[in-house]
Amino acid sequence: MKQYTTIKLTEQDAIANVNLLWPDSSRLNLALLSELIELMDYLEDESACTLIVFQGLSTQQQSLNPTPPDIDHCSKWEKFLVRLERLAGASIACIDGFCTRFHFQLALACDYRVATTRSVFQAPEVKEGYLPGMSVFRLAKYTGIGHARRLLFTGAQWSAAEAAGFGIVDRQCEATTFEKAIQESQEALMPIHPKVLQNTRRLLNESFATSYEDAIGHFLAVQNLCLSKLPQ
Amino acid sequence: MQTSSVCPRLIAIGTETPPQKCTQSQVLELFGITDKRINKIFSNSHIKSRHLCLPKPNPDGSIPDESPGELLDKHQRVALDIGQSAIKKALKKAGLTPQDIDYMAVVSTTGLLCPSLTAHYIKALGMRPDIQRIDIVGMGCNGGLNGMQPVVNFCAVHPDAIGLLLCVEVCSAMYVIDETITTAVVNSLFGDGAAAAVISAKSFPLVPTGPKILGFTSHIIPEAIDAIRLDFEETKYSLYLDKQIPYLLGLNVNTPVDNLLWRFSRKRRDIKHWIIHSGGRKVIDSLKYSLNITEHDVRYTTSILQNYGNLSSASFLFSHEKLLEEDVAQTGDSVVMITMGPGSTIECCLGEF
Repeated sequence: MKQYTTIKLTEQDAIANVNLLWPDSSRLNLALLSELIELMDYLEDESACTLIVFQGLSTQQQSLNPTPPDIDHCSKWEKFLVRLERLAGASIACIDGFCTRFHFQLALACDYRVATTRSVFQAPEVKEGYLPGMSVFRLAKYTGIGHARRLLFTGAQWSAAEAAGFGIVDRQCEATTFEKAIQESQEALMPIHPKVLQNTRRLLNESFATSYEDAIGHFLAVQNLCLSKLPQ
Repeated sequence: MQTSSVCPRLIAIGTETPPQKCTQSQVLELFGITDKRINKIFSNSHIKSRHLCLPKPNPDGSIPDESPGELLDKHQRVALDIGQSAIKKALKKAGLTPQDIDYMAVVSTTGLLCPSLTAHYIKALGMRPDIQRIDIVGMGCNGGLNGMQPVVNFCAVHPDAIGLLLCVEVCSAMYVIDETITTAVVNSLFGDGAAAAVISAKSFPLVPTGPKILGFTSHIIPEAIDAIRLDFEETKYSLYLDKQIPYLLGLNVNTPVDNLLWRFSRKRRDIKHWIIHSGGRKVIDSLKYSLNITEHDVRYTTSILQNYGNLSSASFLFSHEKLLEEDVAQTGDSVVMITMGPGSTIECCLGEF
């Protein structure tokens, strides 16, 4: 298996654990982005895992004046996120601490978020003069446009309890029971039918911008694919 | 299968339609159809307008019944008209004349002629008498890629040759009117059009060319041989489309696509452009979700369906022309073309810009 330097990948049964080893949640670089693309290549082409569990999503940025991201890095980052969102499988973001910037963007792209009650969230980029990635596209789908606008315009921090109230956090736990909560979150998503989950996620995302007349056709196309895979 | 190391390229595409354009409601009005079920099928077709050659209405506004002879005459007349125009447009883009063509394949399913259409085009356009040719008749909507294969093969064997593919379908020359839902679906779907493609392994440095053609795959589903077929009813051909066909195609499309990509060491994610036959909204949806590609990926397919209907074998070249006009393809980009039709069959082609 490939050795990564910016992430640590371990696989057990159908679960791929991906621990982010970034020193700074505010900075992308080519090495990090290349490894994320290689990770997706591996998960799509070779791995038998159907559930990806991301950890290390709560690192504070080191710099008090973070540099705005390079536009080419932004493009590569979003390509990684959209591949994660289109994966035939599920993803969980595990958060224990301060979740911000690119960590927060990754957490939003996951299917499920489990966070300790001491966790804090923030998307400060708008106050700094640029956009928090495609969080501007994803956040309002969880929170509604009113909350999303306030959170992005003010750059305010919000707690895990508030995040749960906004629909961002799916499961809260005490720090002492974090591992148990992650385990239970994984079990809650099992069994995973990868293609069914992939298409369900897609139809849910599309439901915000699709007429019923179009959506019924999409549903029938997907349902036929799903039913053909079930044992007769 | 094209196996030579020489890869002919799609040089230019020209398209043409008859001038008469109808919205779905205009077609219903012309034929005096008031059945609510049929109205619903037309309005749910995701088609805004189609080009159709319909006869001049009677004084009371109704459309006169067309005899089999009149329909065949229409097929020949319109096919020659729009076919020549499409060929001239493609040749003009490539900076060529009809006399430059060494090999010609004409694909059509909407009428059987003898002498065939190629002979008529050669005479009408003054092409060289030593031109080699093939007519591909009766293969239906998938036939465009079946027709592209011999042109590509000829050009691969003869690197200095110029090949021409013409897909010409006069769907308004093959229809019946009755009260059945099956007929209503067919009548709500198809349009008339012709698309010509110049193909050659020669260099065209001054022309913004299309992709080089790397290879083809086919996938036929024999158990569904009756799912898309022409029935001869009394005096006319009537097209039958099984309502399960969109889903059947969705279940099978991954096989030829993945086989093709595997042969050329590509992954699904490597494909930048998808050119898919505009078979109907259900067909497009079924392939879109089965291949896990986006609405953006099928934008040409959807646009052609909306504005022209299902042009049978010509559809994919209309979509391909849109891709070339959009001028978004970069050198090295991969494109997959997919056509589907009776057999039931799925034809695929991999190209690279």
